[in-house]
Amino acid sequence: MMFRKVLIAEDLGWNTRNIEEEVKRLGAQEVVVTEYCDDAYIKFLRALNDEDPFDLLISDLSFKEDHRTQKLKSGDELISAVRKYQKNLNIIVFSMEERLQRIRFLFEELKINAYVFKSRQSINHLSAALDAITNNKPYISHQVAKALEKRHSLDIEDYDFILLKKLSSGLSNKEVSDYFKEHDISPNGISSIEKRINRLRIQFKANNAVHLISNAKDLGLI
Amino acid sequence: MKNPHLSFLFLVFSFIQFPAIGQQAINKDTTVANYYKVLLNPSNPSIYNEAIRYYTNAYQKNLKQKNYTQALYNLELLAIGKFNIGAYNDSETILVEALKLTKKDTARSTTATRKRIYYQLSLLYKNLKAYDKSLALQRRSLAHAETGTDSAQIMITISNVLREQQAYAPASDTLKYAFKMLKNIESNYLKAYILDNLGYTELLAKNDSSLVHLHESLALRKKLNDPHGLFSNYRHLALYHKQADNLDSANTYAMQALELSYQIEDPEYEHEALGILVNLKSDTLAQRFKFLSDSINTVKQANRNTYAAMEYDVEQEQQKTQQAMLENERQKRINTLYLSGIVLLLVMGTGGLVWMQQRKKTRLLKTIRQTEASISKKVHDGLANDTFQVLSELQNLNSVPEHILDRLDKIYIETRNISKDHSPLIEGANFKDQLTSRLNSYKTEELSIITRNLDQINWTVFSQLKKDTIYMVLGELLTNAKKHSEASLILLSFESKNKHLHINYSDNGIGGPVIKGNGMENMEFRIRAIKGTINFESESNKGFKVQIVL
Repeated sequence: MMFRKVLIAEDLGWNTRNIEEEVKRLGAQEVVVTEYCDDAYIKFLRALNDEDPFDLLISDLSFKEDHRTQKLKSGDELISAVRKYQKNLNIIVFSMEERLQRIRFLFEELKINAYVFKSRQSINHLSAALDAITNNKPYISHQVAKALEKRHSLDIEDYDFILLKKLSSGLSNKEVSDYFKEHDISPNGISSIEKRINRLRIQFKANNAVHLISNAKDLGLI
Repeated sequence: MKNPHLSFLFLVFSFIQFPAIGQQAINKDTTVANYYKVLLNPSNPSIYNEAIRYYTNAYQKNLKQKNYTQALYNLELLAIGKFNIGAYNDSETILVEALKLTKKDTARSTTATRKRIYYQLSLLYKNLKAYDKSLALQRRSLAHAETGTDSAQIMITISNVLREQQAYAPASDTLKYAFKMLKNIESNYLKAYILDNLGYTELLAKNDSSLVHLHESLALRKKLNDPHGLFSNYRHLALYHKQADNLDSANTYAMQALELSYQIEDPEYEHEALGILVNLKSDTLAQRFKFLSDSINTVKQANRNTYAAMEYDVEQEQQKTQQAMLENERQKRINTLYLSGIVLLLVMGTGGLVWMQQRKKTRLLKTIRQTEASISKKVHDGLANDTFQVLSELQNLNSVPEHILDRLDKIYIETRNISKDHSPLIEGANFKDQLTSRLNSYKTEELSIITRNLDQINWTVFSQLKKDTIYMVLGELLTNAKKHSEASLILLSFESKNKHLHINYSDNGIGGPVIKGNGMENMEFRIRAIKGTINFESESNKGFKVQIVL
């Protein structure tokens, strides 16, 4: 079984029970639950020392601060600490953090395997995440999936901008294509331009080309 | 035109008064020596102008190099040069400038220099017939005198001024006092000079002791073998005897003066001597006198006219008008001073107030952000987490109706949003990515968010507070749009223009009064606190537009 020994770092009792049940249902033999990052880190080091390391870490990101002073104050810090010792440890972050940049950082820098967003469907997402990891695939809840989308930028490309301008000045697709060829702008085939226009129509919530131009004008883009 | 008497006396004076200056200049090359000469005795206008230029440049150079002693020397020469062509106003200006400079000069010679400047000024005022001013300066000069010799020299000048005013008795007393001061000083040159002047003053006052003093002076000068001095003695003796109707004696002394003038080789002296002789008798010498007089006068006239003719007349007129103007200006200056004082106070006060308020705003914004961040974390870690907790617990119970779960889920999302809306920037992380991520997080199937030029802006030039504010305000705008605008399209365009960042928001929503509560005021406060402006434009069914300039 893939996840024989699981470490959970989460400071809320109820949640933990749900997670615990879920991983056990999927076959985990040993589940260690900690409510503090420091505790989790010690358990992790101990297991490593005993040559019986964990297969999976499920951790939240934010922990309530209380009377106990913690060296590791957040899930990020815990993950970053354990990653140094065990590169092949599977890590699932279970959190309500929805800042895409922070999530992206977890994947890119701390090499987490899955991100489960806390929501009504989170238990389902957790199973999906475990499935994905078994199949060597990353997992991310759909609410924050944008964090891993390739193109982060929302900027409208210059190509699209020029295209809209030309259309608004009355050029047909054929004329735009000629204009692009003349000015070494590519893609400049009529079918590529039509594809682009369709994409823009979706982006601008337009039903047709006229509506597209009208929307772009109303927003003051062109 | 000045009478020859005056100019003659002046010549004698300049020889006595500036020997130190003369020696300094002689060591320099001949051009400079020529410049020096032409300033003391202006003859050639073109060389004179060159000389003025030369010494003006020298002065500026020395001043720049903080070579104050040399700069002072340059100014003195310039003042004398201007004085000699009758440009008294210029001369005065230069002398006043020089006086100021003596305060900077730490050289030991400064006192002497200052004394010379006062002296030159007094001469100036004497020539302008501003006797009181001249005397006042002499007295000031006297205060700077360090030695008996210095004091005596100044007193001679004072007496000259007094004599000009025909105050013969005080003039004589002053000279006698000066003579007393020199009692224990080995300066026959000065003593002879004082006695000569005393004799001349007494002569004018028709006092008989004149003869005694003139003879005492003559005796001293014979010992000194001083032709200029002797000439003066003979001249005065001739005048004395003429006044006493002793024409033979007068003639003898005048002849001796004439002989000396050949020795001195200065036509002006010869001219002066012949003038006396002509007054005594009329013969061939008179013709010689006439010839010389004409030629000298022609030269003099030419000189004076080239330089000063107009200046001199204008000078006198200016003296009068200046007085009036000065008073006028003083009054104006006082008024202007009050006015500008008030204006300055107002400007400073307003500026200070604006600055202080701006600072207060900025500080307030920082405090607000800190509080917001801490509340955001509490809502997130506490309230949102707890809500989620309850939600997931209820989910496990089979008996909970779905609509309660839905309601609870909404509460959970709402708390999360509150937290998100007030969460701070992650410090140190790439701002462009953070902002894009934030904007992206508002995107849904129903709402399209498009930006223009966001990637082109150089965010590194903005302070953390500014970036945080932009992040916050744009977040607020999008939250608001999502809740109230019914928009399906939002465009955010960015542009750097004239060192300002312009951010334009526009949507295709219902428009109208779309911002609920004090959201608008909040945004306005935040933007103002970072010295920006924000404008809201909203018309029903025409969408909502916001312009932010930072």
